[in-house]
Amino acid sequence: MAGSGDAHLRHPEQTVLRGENVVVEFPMKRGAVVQAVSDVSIDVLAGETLGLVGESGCGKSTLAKAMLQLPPPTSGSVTFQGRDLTELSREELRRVRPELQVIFQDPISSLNPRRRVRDIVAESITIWGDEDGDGRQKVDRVLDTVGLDPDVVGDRYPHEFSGGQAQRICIGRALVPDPDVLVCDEPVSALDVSVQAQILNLLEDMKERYGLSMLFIAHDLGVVKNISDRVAVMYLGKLCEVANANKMYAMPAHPYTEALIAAVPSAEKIDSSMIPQGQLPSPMNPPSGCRFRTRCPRAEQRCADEEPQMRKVADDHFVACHFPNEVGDVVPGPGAALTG
Amino acid sequence: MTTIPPHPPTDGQAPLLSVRDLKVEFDSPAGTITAVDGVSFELSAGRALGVVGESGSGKTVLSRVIMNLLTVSNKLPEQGEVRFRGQNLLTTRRKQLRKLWGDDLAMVFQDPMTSLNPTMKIGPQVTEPLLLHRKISRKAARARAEELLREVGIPEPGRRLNQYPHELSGGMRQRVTIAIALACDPVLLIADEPTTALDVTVQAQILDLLDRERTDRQMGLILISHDLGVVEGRTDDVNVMYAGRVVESAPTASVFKQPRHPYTASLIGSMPKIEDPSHTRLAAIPGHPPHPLNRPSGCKYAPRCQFAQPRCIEEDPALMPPTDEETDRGTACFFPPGTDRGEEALARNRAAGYTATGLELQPAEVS
Repeated sequence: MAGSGDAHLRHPEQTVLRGENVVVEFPMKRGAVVQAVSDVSIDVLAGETLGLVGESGCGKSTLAKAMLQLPPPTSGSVTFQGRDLTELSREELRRVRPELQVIFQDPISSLNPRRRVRDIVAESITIWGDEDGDGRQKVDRVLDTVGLDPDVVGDRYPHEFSGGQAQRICIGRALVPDPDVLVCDEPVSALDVSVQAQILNLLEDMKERYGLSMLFIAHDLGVVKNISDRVAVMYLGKLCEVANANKMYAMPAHPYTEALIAAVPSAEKIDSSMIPQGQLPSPMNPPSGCRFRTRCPRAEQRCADEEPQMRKVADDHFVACHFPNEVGDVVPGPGAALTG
Repeated sequence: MTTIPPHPPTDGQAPLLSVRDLKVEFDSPAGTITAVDGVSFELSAGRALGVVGESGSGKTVLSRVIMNLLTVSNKLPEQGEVRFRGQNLLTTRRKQLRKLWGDDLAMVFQDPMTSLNPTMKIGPQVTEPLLLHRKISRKAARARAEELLREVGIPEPGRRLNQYPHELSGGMRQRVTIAIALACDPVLLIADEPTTALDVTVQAQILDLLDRERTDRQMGLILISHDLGVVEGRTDDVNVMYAGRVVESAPTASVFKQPRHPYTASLIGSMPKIEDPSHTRLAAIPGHPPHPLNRPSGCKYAPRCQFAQPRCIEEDPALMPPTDEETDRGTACFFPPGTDRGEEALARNRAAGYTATGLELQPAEVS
């Protein structure tokens, strides 16, 4: 885990968004540098939802922001619709931005408290002009689609809304410019379960209706599985495992993925021996070789000497580990018995 | 809700904690807000009680009031009683309460960054309850603090005593707050969302720790969480709260096997489950909880409930055993899911296409 490589990437022609060898570094004191994202490659197919999971500090949000050039990665390339975003000029990038929209964890703080909902949602039309001449109707239509009554909410301010409603406003705002890609950074973590379910269902509907590709970041494994077609697991700035969502949860290949799934609270008594003990090592000074080795029950000398590369273990199932679990090529279809 | 709910047998012993008809109200310019509305339950030593509910359901106010920690100026006098080993904490003088807090009664809060003092080293924060409640020298307190940190799984405890909270990770900080809470061997520990701010692997470690300490010390534990998974795996009994009330109260295993309140059933249905295939449609609950100033007069859940009948609008259901056989649990519902009455009500609503409160039902919707 915590390996490099790009065996899991699909053919560039199929992908909408593709990051290759993305590195994000932040300067620290005394000239030191911390690599928050360390040579990670991910891609998203048209109409696909890629889920990105990992513990806090693993670099999942940083990676997503680097894909959006917020800020651009230190090195590596991000290709969107055949163009490398890292090489575009400011103005060219600005013109691409409406196609790449994002929603964040705290919906209230991502809305300007001094503006009315209708103006917030219409912002992209205000900036880019009203090509079809139906700007206002479009805003109302989008508000209606995300489950808000435009006549009731249009003239109100963000503080008048609950978290779930505010997240609907954020989703509406992101949808107005008809984006190709929607990046969701922990969009339901701050919401209650019942509201979380409403928002997850809404995102699925919007994906269908607007033909979105999504990059969905969350730390909750149940949420990620529910919304994703494919899931990528990150640890300390590296990818551990990338696979079809159902396959990964049914048969995790990476010991870290296995531990994450085992740690999900449920009625069954958790097997504590599965849970990695100790703490995330400092990203300032990551372990050599495989970054998970310091907490991995299977670690051997090889894990310290050699960084595992991403390799295929089954159809649409890739892992960066020297000693992964055996996984078969069973295709669990919807409704198939899945024993996580 | 004046009926005393059914509860698991306590083997003839007096319960550690007994809450009766507790009502907590706040005065606000817009009117009186009832945060906790007639809650009753019991907890015996060594058992873990889960309290679940969404934001605003009153679970945090309930936890604070059990400790008698609420001192905000607009709080109206509480009604009902909170008996801790027979002593009513609501009428106990502050000076007496201080002797209980951190000694027999302890609490762990959600955010360890704000519940630890950022300007104090870990050492003095862990020794504080010991020096306050025990006749013990500073040196002995420090030795005990080191032992406590080791017990809660903190590596290099000696060194940690000299560190500040910001030097520790979130999981480590939460372990410190648990060590502080356990310092004087409490008989009742209230943990309010203790793992909400933490990653799953750390969450599992912290919950294991609480489990172990509860069993070893025969400590009563109230675990407040919005995460049903946490409550399912870690508690003996559960109280489900909605709009300031306990709407279902039962042994945890039975609640998850067959919820007897539509709200509980919907909460379980809206939780994304790791066993389900991806893209499983979640059974979201329509609408949102009622505003505390404008709660419906009948059942508070009726406007969102698929089972709602005319009776639910007129009458307010009390916590009662759902069937004649199930005497160990209570539900505040006239038409509990899974019972004949409930299924008839649901079938009637489905046939009509809407409930008594006008909620539209899709024929395919699962209860």
